[in-house]
Amino acid sequence: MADLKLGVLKSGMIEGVKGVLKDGWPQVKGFATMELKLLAQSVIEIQSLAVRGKISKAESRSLMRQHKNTTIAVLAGIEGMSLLLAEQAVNAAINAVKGAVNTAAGFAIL
Amino acid sequence: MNNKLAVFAAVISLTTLAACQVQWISLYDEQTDQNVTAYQRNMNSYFERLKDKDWPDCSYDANKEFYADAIGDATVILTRAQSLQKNDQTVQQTSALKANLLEVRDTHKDSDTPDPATGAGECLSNDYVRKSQEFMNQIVRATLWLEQGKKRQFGKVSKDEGAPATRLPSTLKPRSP
Repeated sequence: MADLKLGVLKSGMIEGVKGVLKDGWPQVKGFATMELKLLAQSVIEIQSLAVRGKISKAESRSLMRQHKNTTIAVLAGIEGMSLLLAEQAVNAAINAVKGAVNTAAGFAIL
Repeated sequence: MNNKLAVFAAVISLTTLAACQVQWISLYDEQTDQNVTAYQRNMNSYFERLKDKDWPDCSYDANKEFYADAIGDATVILTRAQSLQKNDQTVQQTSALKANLLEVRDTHKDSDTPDPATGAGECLSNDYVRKSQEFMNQIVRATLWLEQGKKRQFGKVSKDEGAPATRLPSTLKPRSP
């Protein structure tokens, strides 16, 4: 089995998410970086435990499936938080329009 | 005439726009928050106890009742999430929580074959249990992170959107070891 490099895995995962989120990245950076790093470390650890015979083949396969499920959950969290942030921006813009119209009208028209 | 029409159209558009605050994701759900936390507490206790057990206390047979209860709890959490609108991300997270529990249950069950000669079997390895525990905690962390984000965003909670049948807090109280 070829050696996996933590740095390569970690930066690959982070860059992938960062590329999709673009402007939303700074707001989720702290959580996403920590969790994606843990996921990358887990792959290395499972491989190492399997090679050293600390876990059975069945256990290593099960852990990789759990890893996949966990990755989906973490990415879903990041996706949800990005939606929240986008929503916040759009609603702030709508509120700004509302404020401007009311100010121009001199009373609460909207 | 055309100017009046344009002003009228602009007022209608702005009124419509101002009335339409967007909502792309569900509100914070206190029930999900509490149930996921209770589930995490139960699972952590179970994993810790399992690491200390020897055969036959560590066998699947000796622990299958726990799995039945825990799968019931995970199903309650998932069903609750599914009953809320615009809750796709939390549904994915709680599905993952349940899927990982089923993984541990199935692996435990499959490894539970005692040696015919000695009658003794092997426990799940401590490293397997530890990593499964870490994954469970990671999913819970991601789920609660998103729920807390919803809470901060909306400042209000969704207490009554879920179907009553999914709200079974009594089954999610911490169990005694």
